[in-house]
Amino acid sequence: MRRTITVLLSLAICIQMNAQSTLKEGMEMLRQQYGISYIYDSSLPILRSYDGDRLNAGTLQENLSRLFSGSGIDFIVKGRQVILKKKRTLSLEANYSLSQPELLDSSVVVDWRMPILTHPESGALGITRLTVEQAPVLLGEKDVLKTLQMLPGVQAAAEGYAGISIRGGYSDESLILLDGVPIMQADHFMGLFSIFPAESVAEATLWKGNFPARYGGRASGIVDLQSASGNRDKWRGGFSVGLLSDRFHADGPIGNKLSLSASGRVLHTFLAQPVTALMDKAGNYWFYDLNARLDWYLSDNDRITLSGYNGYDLLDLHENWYEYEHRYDENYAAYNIRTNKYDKSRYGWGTSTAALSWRHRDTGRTTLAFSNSRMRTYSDTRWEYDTDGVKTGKYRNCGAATSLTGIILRTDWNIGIFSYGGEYTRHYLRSDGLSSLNTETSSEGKTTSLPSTVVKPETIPANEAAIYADASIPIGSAVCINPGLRLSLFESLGSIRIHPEPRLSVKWRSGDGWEADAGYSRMVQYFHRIPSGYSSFPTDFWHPVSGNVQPLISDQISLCGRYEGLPGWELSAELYYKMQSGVVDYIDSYAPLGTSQAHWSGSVASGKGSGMGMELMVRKTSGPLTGWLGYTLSGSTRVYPEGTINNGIPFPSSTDRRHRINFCATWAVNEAVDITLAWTFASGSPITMPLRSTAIYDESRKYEDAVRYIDYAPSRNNFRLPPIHRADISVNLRKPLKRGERIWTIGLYNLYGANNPDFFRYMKTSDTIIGSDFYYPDKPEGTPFLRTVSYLLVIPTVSFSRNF
Amino acid sequence: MKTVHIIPLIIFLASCTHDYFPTTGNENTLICMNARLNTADTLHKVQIKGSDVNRTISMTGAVVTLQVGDAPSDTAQVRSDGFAYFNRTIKAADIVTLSSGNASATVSGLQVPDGVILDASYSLTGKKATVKARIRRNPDTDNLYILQLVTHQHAIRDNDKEVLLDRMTIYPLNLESYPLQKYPRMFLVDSDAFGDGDSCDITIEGDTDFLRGYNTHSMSNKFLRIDDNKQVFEPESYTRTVLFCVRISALNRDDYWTLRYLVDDPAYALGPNLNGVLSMLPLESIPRTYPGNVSGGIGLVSVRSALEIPIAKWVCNYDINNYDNPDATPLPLQ
Repeated sequence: MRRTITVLLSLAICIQMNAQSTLKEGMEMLRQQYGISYIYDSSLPILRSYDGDRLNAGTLQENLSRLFSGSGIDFIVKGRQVILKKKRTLSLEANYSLSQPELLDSSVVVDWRMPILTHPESGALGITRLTVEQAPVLLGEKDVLKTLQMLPGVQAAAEGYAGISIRGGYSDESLILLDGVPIMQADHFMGLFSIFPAESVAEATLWKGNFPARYGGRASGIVDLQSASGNRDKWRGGFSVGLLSDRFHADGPIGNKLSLSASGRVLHTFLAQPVTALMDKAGNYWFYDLNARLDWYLSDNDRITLSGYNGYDLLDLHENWYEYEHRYDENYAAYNIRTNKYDKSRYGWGTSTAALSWRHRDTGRTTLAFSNSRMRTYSDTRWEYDTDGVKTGKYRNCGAATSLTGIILRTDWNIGIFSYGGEYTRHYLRSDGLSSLNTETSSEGKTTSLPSTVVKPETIPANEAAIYADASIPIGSAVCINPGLRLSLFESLGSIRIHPEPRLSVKWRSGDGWEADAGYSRMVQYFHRIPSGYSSFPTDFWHPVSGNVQPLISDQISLCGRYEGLPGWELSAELYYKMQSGVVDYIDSYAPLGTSQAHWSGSVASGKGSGMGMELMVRKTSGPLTGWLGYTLSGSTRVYPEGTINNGIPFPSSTDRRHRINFCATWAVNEAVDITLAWTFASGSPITMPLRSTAIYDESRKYEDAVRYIDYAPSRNNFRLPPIHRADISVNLRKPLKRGERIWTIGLYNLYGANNPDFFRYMKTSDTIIGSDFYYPDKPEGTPFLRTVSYLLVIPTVSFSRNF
Repeated sequence: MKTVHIIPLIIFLASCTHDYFPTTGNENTLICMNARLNTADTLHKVQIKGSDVNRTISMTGAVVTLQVGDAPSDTAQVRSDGFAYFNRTIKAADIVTLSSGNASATVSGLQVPDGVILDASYSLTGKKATVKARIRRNPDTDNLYILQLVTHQHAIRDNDKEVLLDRMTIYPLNLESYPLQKYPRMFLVDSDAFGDGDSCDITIEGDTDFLRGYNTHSMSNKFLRIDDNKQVFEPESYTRTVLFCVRISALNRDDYWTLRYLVDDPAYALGPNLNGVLSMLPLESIPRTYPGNVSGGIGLVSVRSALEIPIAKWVCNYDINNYDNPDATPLPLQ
């Protein structure tokens, strides 16, 4: 009897142990008991033994806690899905690109792809917040757009700057969406940083070609950003202090139906603003970003989201100088004049967006949104003259302001294999023109003022609308054809333009890891923002097409091949060819600030552009060491046949950078330490370089010689800057705390101090001014040369973050 | 001393400079040829300079050829002032070819629409002169014009009616040396000037001596003449007439943009600080590449057609024996 009981007990124990001898078996038991399914990385140690309590008592949460206690595995329950991850990895949502995991019905075990790059849709490339947070960047300012620059086919408008150029297009040819709202001004400080810090964005999806029919309005690329939604289970947040800025984020539930997410960033110099504003001789620059999102979960199938962004830049410049001159009048009598000059300028620019959207399952979404991009500036200049004791003065004040406001209504639906929808945007382009006030003070103290409106204020409304439809038609099990059509309409200043935008892509998938895509897209762009320099400035503003300025139409053919048959590796190759009509550029000049729409139309020329390229990439997607190596070979040219730019001769576009290599590797040393190393090489940008001196007939002068000597550049973009290369490294040191974790980030930007040109200026030599920094005795006096200045050399980064 | 306080938030730990000398592939001297031929003039001047890598050189003595339509060509040599002068009548529709050395340009002009100047007037109040012009908008053209003040001076000796002076002088009409400019580019008319209207009013005000009158002492030297014995003598008495006209010339786009480059003060776009910022920032503003239509060389040649409207007339009698002759005042035309 005793033996029987022992055997039975042993058997029971064995059964109990065997039934729950591994985590996996325990998971299966709970799956059957609660009707759940799991989503987890195959590298999780679910085969380890389970020595915990029995799993048949209590709630699901309690049993999961017992099962995974001490296993190094964390879990989160979403509806009927349980998502598993390793402990101390960043937020669960950031790890997965599932938009609505609660809607999955079956157990899915996915290959563990380090959440660096994803393929959310065919033809798209996605990065997650983890990617952005790991990427080494200047001064530790984690930036979505600068992370995208590490991908093949994407480059910065200028070295170190955030504006992006996709497949050779200008920065205004890239559509940047934040929760479906177009962002018209995405840069801070002339493009050094973007307005998208890492905390504000959950994921970013990049299209370089094969654009879905639901996207339009820009010619060369789409960056679709989704803000982070709030956690529905508990409140969490954190703050970060870096060399340049302070950041915070917080998200959590409000009751059972609501969640809130908020983040912000501000430069340290913001604190100095009250002081510098009172000082005559101090300038300042600061900016802030604020993001917020409120989600209302009406049901499992419906959600309403209210999200918004507000950001602002302020740049104060003060300049004081004096000059002492000894002059002779027309009777050759000598006199002395001292000039004091005080100059104070302020530039402010910013962006605000708000979006209210209703999402129904994964079949439909309707959004009402508002966006505003604005710039305001003024300048006060005062001159004080003292001519042998006789005092006179002059004062000039100039001011200008522009803004672009959009009210957007958009709806997108999926039914079966079909997708369709439409959008309408009412634009308001407002310019306060350019006004000035000139005041003079005579020696008798009499003041005369003359106000003037140099450019009159104007408001230009415009209507932009589009409807689209596409289908995803499977042919067999390996091929899928996606035909689509987008019909866009633009009305402004009495003219209506309607353009069909056909889209077609064919996808082929083999069963052994091979994939191929081929596609054609036409994109039409009705707004232009031409840079007056090589990078973007807030004074470069958007203008709608009007008059003889046609929309930019871009036709792109792309081929892509990808192989994922090697576990943990992905190889891809892409080819593209792009033809554009209606590209615009300033006619050998730039438009002054506050210029009217009519004047802008007359100061630009329309032409044609073309681009082609090859993008190769090798990615390692699993294991402690992940990353990618990409190479891009590309070229882009422009030509303005009417001859107003470069005399009608084709010239390389300023975005034409022939070779580009991007390397990025992240080594997760352990759960506390990860190291990311990035290396970039790119051919130099073409610039316009004066090569000789010449004379120009100057009838504006009242003298008879009518000649002005100038530096002459024979053609546009006739000189290529030297190539740039740079290595950056960043180390994240994490320590879990009682509540949350602490992260120290240490990095070096431009690790080996490569002398990449961050500034450049045109200069001339001197063979007589010995000791000057332009003294070249072996060169004839006045020989033109280009001086590049590299200052972003071995820039350290330190930041402290605390998450809870 | 110049102190600049600019606070970009970039850490300047160290900086490194590097100088690049572009190779042009062509180190030879290029002919730089500029001309603004006007159909209202009979005397035309063509500016010729030599362009080297590091300097501009004089081309005195260079031969310039002017061909107008099917008429025989003229040649002239470049004088010490850098210009070659031609005495020809040119119409807007004429095909004009200028050449010098390897450089040549072939152009024709734009017709100024009839009645483009709706009204022009001059008034003088104390030391302040005002010139006003109303320009009509033409829906078929770019409406690019340049306004200039032209004076036609004649001096005739009273006793024998010998012509002592016959000169036309063109003033830019921007009065750039004078303060209180109301419109920085006031002598250039473009679409901005019209706004939504069918016409635009150009008003120039200033304290201008040349519109007030001519000081007899300062002007007397202009009538000094040298006889065959190289003796200087002055005429006894003469009548001098100055006719002030507003001239409007139609510009093509290249011509207009070249003028814009010359007169646009970037400071008008909100102060020199913007330029200062632009010159400091990574990748400066794109330098201007001036329009040119001279093949084999550099420069811009254009033909402008013009209309003139007289706005004031000044008449003065000069007597060498009477230095106290009071200054006359220009009279608005009746």
